[in-house]
Amino acid sequence: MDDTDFDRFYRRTRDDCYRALVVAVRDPIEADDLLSDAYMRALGRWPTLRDHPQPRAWVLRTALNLQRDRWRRLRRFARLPFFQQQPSPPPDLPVEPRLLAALRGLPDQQRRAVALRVVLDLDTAETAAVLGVSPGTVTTHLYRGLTALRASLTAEEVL
Amino acid sequence: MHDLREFDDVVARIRSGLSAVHYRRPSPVRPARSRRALSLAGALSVVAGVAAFVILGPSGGSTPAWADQPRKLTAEQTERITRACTLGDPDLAASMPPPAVIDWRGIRVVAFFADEHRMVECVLDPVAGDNFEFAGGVGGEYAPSDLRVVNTDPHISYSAQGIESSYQVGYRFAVLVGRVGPEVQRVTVDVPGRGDAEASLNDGWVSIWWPGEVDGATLHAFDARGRELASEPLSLD
Repeated sequence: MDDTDFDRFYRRTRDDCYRALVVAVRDPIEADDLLSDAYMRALGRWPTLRDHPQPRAWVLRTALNLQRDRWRRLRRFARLPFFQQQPSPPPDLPVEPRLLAALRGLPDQQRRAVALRVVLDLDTAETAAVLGVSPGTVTTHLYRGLTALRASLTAEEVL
Repeated sequence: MHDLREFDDVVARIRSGLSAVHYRRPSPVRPARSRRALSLAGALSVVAGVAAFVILGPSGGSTPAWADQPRKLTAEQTERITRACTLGDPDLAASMPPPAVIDWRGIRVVAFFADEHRMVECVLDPVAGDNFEFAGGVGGEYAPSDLRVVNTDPHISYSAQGIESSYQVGYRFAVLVGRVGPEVQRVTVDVPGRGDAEASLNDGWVSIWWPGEVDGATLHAFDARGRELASEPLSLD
């Protein structure tokens, strides 16, 4: 395995992937953990993944799959007392609060479409592949999400 | 990009608004920290309901990081482990099922609390002799019926998870807990690159941890005469 090659990929993509994941999952700590897991898996598969047409999309899809698995597992953990302790407050993100609030306020599917299509700058087909939906569905979620964001941000500014 | 064109203003706002967000973790291909690093045990981080573990190498040369045989526990050690898992809270201790099987090997303890209705997993880091630090709960309370049944004769069911340290990038380990029928008297796990490891088995309850991944490992069940009753490739939950 060419670690240097992977390292270059990691350095080139990590910020964009993290930003997209922060938007997609809302919680920066969870995004941090998921992305770390996803990159570890990417490292293990790098000899083949390096030839993937869009390895960033692979990383995001893996991270989002991990989130789904994690939440499925957590459903059965919820009753354990030490999981009911107050979690640590999320770290402050250097993002304008109203933009962050507007992004976090979107429904899941719209938020994920925005994360992948706008933040990570995947094309519609790649976004559809990551989310496991049709390109038409991506376009619909994206349109609704961006319309809602524009309305939300504009309303804030008028007020 | 045609689907974004009419939203140029919003797209620009999102992209510029997130531009100061950076991912701070070092590259996973950088050299790992010293395996002789001292324990940070006790630094429990609950992240979105998931405990993050402090994963460490041995603090000295005498304790192996992992072994293919579990340690035999004294009653006092069992009590200390139970107390550590319940955080010294008598109310929590009273609410937990009893300790079913405890797997202590090397730098980690996996304690499995279970009865016929409830199960709870707990991971500890041994520190300074027989003292234990709570490193986190892999699992919460769930039921034996939640275990994945992979064999019915004899009964074998399990839950396996791959865990990665939130602190030591690249350190991964696997935890398996399970239930086997009464005819099963011995359970081993063939760990890739390490060979067969003896699982801890008590009254049909099984637990074991190993460094690395779940995928690629195989569980073997034997009867009292050493005959293999079943062999099951393991996979993540």
